[in-house]
Amino acid sequence: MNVQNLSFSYVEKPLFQNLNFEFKSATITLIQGPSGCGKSTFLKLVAGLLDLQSGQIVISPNSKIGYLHQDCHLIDHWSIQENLSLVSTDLVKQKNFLREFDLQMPGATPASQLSGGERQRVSIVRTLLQNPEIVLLDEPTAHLDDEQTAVAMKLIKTHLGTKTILIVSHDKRLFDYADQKLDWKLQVSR
Amino acid sequence: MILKTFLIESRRSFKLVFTLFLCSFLFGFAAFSSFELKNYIEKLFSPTEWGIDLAILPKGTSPESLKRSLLTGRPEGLIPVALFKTLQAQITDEQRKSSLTQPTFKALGFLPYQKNGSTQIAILGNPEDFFVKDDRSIWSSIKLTDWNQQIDDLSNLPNYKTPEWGSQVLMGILIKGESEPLLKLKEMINRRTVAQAWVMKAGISTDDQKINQLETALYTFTCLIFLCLVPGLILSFIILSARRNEIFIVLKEIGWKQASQLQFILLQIVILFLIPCTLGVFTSPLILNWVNYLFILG
Repeated sequence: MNVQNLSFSYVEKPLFQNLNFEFKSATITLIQGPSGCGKSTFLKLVAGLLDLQSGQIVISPNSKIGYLHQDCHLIDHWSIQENLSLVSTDLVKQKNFLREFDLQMPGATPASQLSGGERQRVSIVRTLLQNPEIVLLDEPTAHLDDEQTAVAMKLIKTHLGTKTILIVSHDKRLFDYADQKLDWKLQVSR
Repeated sequence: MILKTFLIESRRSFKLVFTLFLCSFLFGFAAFSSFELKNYIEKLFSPTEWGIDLAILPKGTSPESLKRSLLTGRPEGLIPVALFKTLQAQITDEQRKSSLTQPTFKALGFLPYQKNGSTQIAILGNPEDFFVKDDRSIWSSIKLTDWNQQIDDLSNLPNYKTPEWGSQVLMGILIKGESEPLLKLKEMINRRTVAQAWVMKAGISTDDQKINQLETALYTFTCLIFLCLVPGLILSFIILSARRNEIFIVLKEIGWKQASQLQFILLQIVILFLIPCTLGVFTSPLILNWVNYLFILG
């Protein structure tokens, strides 16, 4: 994935200008930087959730993109299984991933009854089931303890290890799992 | 995937979806039945061009009940087919005696009934020259069927059988002819048979006051239904739309395109509004006939 001369600004606030990167497959890139400097906006631009203003992001045609929002969006009045069925109908795979994360599939219980950590784990499972070529994770471990963080990163490495993975996070526990680190503030200020 | 998402969402929002479906059905039903009822009231009370000279009906049955029976397909009395046959024999006999090429009067037996929710009038005899099909004629909106057809249709209905005449029954006989022989016929029918003959004139059932009262009641009823249904429909759509937006946030993140979202909205509108509304429109005549049959005429 290539980012070429990418610039973006909100109404009165330029976030970044003329950024150029190359992200390789089978690499986990950890993007770090202070809040409000445009890291999440960059992920949204890659995911196509925001329109490009100038520059371009070159991605192989037909590449599937998986995006995990920092608020762990789930359809609250649907059950876990119904939420996961949007990306995969393979029930065995769903159960296996949930089991690894120590999550049950409690029938028709709506997702609104899940705790923050559970929502985060279900969102990660959804991304794993989606099996995208480009994986964008925005604060994927914010609500997870050390043990769950280790499980999450192990699953991501095992099942999505050959993909291009971009993680935006302040979480120092992820340093060990990243193949490369990108200081966003440094890149933006160049 | 769109259909699957729709099905899961419908299952999860079942009460809402059911309410919306029902409101849409009632919306279509109310709109069409108001229109139907208005036409029915107008037909029932509008001046009638009968296009016949004499009607032979069961005793106690007036031309107003004749009109009602023809519109609803429910006879309010029966006479024997034998009476019609006697009249036919009389016509042939008179014709032979006087060597006339044309008979002095013509007769046509009829029997109204219901089939698959619509009114049918079975005709016994030759209907030629009987029914003038202009706008005011009552016959222009009535479906005539062959006599043999009703024998199959009504063979199992007890309402169309009497202990004296079995299923050999008619609701009445329509007569067209010259005035002098008809007056004699009227007198003979009234004196010697189980039937009663009526001279038919246009405009017998006009009652403007009744029409106005019924139409006002109908409009009030329709307005009340719409006042209840429209806010219900709008509210259901707003709640459903809020839930849909929540779904779209997730669907966008897993890569759904804008076009798929529009298709999902379209699917909801078609299945939860257009289809039940159309169903309401099409079932309206059937339900009205059923209500008519059970509660008004039954």
